[in-house]
Amino acid sequence: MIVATASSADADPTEIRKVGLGLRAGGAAAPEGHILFDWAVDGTFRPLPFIGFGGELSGGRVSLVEGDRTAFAVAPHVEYVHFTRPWLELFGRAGVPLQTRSGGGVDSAGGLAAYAAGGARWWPECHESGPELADQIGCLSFGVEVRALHAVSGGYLVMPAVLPEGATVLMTSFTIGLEL
Amino acid sequence: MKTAPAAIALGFLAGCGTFGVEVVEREVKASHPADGIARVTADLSVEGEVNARGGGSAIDAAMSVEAWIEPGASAALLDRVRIAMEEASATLAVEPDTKGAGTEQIVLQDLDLILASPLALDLEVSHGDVSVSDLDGPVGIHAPDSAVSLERTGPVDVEAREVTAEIAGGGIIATTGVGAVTIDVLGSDFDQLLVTTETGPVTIHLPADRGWDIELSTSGEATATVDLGGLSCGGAGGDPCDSIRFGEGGPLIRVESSGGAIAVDDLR
Repeated sequence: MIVATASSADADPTEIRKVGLGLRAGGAAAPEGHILFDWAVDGTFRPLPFIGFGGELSGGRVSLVEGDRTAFAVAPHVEYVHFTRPWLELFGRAGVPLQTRSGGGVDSAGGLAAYAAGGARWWPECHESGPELADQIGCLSFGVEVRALHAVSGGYLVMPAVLPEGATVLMTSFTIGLEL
Repeated sequence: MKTAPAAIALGFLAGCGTFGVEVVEREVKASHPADGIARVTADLSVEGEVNARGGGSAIDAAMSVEAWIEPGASAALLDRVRIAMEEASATLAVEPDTKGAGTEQIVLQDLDLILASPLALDLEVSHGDVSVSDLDGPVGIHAPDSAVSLERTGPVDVEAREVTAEIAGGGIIATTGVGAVTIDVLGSDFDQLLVTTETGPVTIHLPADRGWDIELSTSGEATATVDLGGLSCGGAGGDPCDSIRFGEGGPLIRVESSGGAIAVDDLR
């Protein structure tokens, strides 16, 4: 039974690794030579083959005329994953960030965005573990992601600016994950 | 599958851009006579830098702001921005202001201050770097998350993330975390210079042709070495150098660190 499980996992480690915890950091070019920066921590549960559900938590700040404005966002997401090699995972993810902002001498406000992302993760450890794979506590993954985030309503803070409604950021991020 | 890496690389290169937004920049200025003013204060947050320097005949402030707006939208909201200068008891408070009509679409980028040299300066900066130069008066900076640069100022009282200084007036400098302190001491016309760090390194360059009293207090992983005018102590196998009189003695240089490497040597 263990051998069968390990053999299956050799093709798709997510059959055993049902939970992914990740850290993402990335950025995008913006007008007038600015660089936007975004980061998040996230968790994804994969109850179904190829499909995961989870959420991201992120924060940010910007210097407004009358002080610091801070933001906090929660973004539920759904993810599709596919292993083209036992060590190479391609993924697509869609999410809906909800953001709250306060401070800076301006009334508190909220923002709604939507994003679609795609990328690849390299699992350098799990694919060579054989039968021991099931006994490993976890594996690391390293990824790169391209994300299109659209500010749907209420503006959206991506450091260092609050983007107006209708703005879209196409950003590249790097990720590190712990696959449990 | 050979196309997969190429597709990933292409996506990576393409993944960088912002659309549906326009950035409009503006500079806002204000001025106030120096008569009757002894101290200038400012409490703010910037994305770039707060830069203050002496040499002026009045108190001049210039602030760069940016509006992030929809393409083609009016940038009239920038008309709200001004620099308020409120005088009270010989103190002039410099305050970026939006006339009560704050908006989260305007970002404060930089603030430049030009002061009459004898004035004292107090800055509270919650974000952004700070640079002060050629100001004879005392300089107080509370900016625990900022990198601070000081050149040719009067006595300092600075709390920052990291500090680089060329000063002749002594004072107090403290950093948090791993923040480093690097000081060129240009003169000896002061009583004491106190430096405190957590785990950040401290490097102090002193003129060796004068007398100094040096106290180096270490705890934890901190180390201390002195190599000044032919006098050396600390380091592997060296005598400990926690209290040193150099030459005839003089201003007190006291450094406290709970984890950083302290080095005192010649100003070159």
